[in-house]
Amino acid sequence: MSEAVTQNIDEIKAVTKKYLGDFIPPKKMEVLEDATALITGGILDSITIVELAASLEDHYDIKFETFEMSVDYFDTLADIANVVQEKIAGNA
Amino acid sequence: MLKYTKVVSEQLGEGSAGGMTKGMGIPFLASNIQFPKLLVLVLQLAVVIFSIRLFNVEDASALHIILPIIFGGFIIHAVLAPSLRLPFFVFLSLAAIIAVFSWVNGLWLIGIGLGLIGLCHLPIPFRARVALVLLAVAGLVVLRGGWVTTSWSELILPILGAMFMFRLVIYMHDLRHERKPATIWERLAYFFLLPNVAFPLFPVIDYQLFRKTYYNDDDYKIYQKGVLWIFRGVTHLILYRAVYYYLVPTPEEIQGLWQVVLFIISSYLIYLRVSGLFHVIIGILCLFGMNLPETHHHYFLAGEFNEVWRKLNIYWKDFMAKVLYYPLVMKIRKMGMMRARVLGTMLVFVATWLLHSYQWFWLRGAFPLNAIDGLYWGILGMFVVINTIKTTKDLTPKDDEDTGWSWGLASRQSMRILGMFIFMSVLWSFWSSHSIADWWSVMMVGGTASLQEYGLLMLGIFGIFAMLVTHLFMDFKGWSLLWDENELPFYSVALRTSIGVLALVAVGMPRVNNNFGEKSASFIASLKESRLNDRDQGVLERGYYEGLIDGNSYTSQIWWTDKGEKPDNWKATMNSDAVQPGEDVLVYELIPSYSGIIKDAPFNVNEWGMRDKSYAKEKEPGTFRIAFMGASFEQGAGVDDEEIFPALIEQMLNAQHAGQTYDKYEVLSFAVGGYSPVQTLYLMENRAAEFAPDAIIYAIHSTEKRRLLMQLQKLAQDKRDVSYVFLNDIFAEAGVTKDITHQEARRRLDPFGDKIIRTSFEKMGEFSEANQIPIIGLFVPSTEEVDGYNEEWHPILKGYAEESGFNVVTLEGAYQGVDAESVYLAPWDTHLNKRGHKLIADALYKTLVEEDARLQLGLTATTD
Repeated sequence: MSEAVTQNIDEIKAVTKKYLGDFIPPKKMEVLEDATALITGGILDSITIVELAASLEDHYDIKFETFEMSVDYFDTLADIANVVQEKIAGNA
Repeated sequence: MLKYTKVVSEQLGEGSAGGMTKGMGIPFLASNIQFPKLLVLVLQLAVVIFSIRLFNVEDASALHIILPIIFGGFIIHAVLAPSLRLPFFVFLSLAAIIAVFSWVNGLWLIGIGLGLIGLCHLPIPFRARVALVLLAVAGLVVLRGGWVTTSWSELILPILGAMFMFRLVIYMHDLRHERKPATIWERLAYFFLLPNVAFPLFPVIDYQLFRKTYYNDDDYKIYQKGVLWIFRGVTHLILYRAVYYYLVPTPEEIQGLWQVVLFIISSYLIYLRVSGLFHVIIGILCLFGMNLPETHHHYFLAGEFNEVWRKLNIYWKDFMAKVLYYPLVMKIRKMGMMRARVLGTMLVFVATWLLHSYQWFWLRGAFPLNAIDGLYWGILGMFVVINTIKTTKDLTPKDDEDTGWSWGLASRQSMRILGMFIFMSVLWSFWSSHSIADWWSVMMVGGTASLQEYGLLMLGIFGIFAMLVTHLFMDFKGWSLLWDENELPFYSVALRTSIGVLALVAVGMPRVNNNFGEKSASFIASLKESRLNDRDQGVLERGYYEGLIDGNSYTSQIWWTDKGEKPDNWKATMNSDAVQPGEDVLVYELIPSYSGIIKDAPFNVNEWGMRDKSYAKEKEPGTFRIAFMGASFEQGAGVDDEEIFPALIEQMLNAQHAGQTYDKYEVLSFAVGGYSPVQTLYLMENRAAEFAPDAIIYAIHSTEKRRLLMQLQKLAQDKRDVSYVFLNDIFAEAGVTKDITHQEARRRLDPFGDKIIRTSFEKMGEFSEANQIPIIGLFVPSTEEVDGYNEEWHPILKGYAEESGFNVVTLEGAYQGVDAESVYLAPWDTHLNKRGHKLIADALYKTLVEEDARLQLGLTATTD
């Protein structure tokens, strides 16, 4: 099993959070929780979603489908981490 | 953002046994009804709905039909078990469709809608389903384009288009990737959204967002947000009316810097209408648990192009991102993220331009792709691209708090907001203009201002700048008047909403606002009217006479009001085959002995060029002859020859008074559609005089100046040599040439309009005195004046008429309180129909009899 598969969800969240820090103001980052609504809460917009997806693609060598860059898959930190984990597992 | 932890599936009836919960032991009722909160909500909603009725908000729409459904539906929906709410909402939405469109048309809409949804779910490959949906849409395009007509298509297709033509794209896009299959009720609710039946212009709601936000917070908090947003929408719509009626100048009449400034600013401010409508729509959906995010967010306070784009119509931006921007950028990002972003953004703006025309097609049946629209979207897109390049170089966000407070920061931010507002206003004014040349000619008027005026303008801009800095300071201190309802508890939002809506209702009540003074009360009363402003009325009239209608403009109010589709053969007389080029000041005149159909009614012209029966030039002894002068109202195209009011008056006079003082009465109608006082003067002196009338009735309207400017512009730009010296002098002084636009020509002639009307009236008075023919100046109220004459123009024209020696007659109350629309010739034509002509004839006859002693028609002397 590759190292990528062993990535646990907390590590993915931490990496995602690091990239989110590039787009979200520090004060909002401080209160960011796993369930904080990023898209429906108006924190991420179309530009930043693309940037975040691109960063995660490069970091994990994965590829998002465009339908995944939506509220169903990208609305919370937990949602994003789950998708990323599934993709890493799929690549293995 | 607070996240409510309730499991959505429970709301959808998947989590409780049998899909049903019990409230207080009663089946079908929710288990968590909070009656105090519900009561507070019901009371607020009742007052908000009362305010909608009080101010006649959107009274041209079907909103007022569905308000009782929304109110009653909300109460029942709120107490229903969660599993029953969506089915109930769907049935409520379908009931609203039937209520608005009646059974036959409503069932057509529902049937076609169900058919389209059904096609999306056929058990065939996805591509085949897409092909079938496209085929079905193509069929509807044929209907909407008018290539095939049915009794129902014209009525329901704008709404059907609003329900399906964007949502189908999103739905098909998302259908393949649903993480959790939706219930049938979710699918139906998504398409048949209750308020959609009243609003053809509807936000493009995302399917995933719709599902994701359904009861994703506390029920009562969502409902409260709904009431607040409806109220906010209502205030936007009332403010819009204030801007639309009082701030939007008529381009032809713009004469100074201040009017240019008003023209620019008001062009952007009228966007309040769209944000108002969208607030009301989303607010209504919140009442049914759909906790959708805002569609607009403080867009007048945006400080960057990207911010404007993001805040002006958030749903549209998200739709574009989903179906175009993401797929493209992610596909081409290997060529460099910056390039991908720029190309993606450019594509989004090109698509927005085309899709607005697509949306327009469903709304109006036309697909306008004009240069102004293209330039507007192109310029905005270009600046957003530049802004994108700039911002993506530094995506690192900053907290307002982290930057602290300094006058420098606040000043820079205020300058950005102010600059963006001015830029967007200028761009919007460009978008609102008929042509680039027209817009430029208005801008040039501003260039003629004095230094003092520019100084005052700068002072005004500085004043707004100071207000913005103050706003930022208050925001920093936590004293901002802008508050976020999501951050406040239920009762706090309820209290603020209640205070706001009660204040609005109080201001709207005549009993209260009469205490503010007559002017204020009159101003508030005017905000309850639903009408076109002077600019759009002028556009409509010009379009009517010249075929240059601007109704196909997104920024015009006309298309909101003009609900009917004008047939291609529906032409003003001057554009019909009943006219020929005229002599002297007559740009055109009726062709003698013409016989044909105009506006679906017979139109016959006698041998003398009058729309009237044949008369001998020589008057028979014992005949009292009246020459009836006027314009389109009196000419009466669209109503049978014998049923226009000059003809009716002749019939009434002969029926009641022939054989008394006079053997008979003759009323010869010289009225011609579009004629102004100048043409009437010429007809009076050169045509009517030949018939030796005993009296002249000259029908005068509040719109004389508008028609006059149209006729003068044609005369001046044709460089026609007219016999009236005073007109030639004015043409020379105004400097009207062929190479300027019609709008510019009218602007140059505008300052002379009053003088020309007055001089024309005076010359008519001189003619009357010289020939001993009394003139009755008859003020005929238009259908826009059913509640009273135009307050600006009626007194002026009446004054000129009296000074010129006319016997002035007004027909106050001629329409006897009837609805204006009931006397319209057609939904798209506000001239009088048969009923309207009868009402005017009755009122005129009554007045002639009552005032016979003054008017000297020989009626009352022999009637007793």
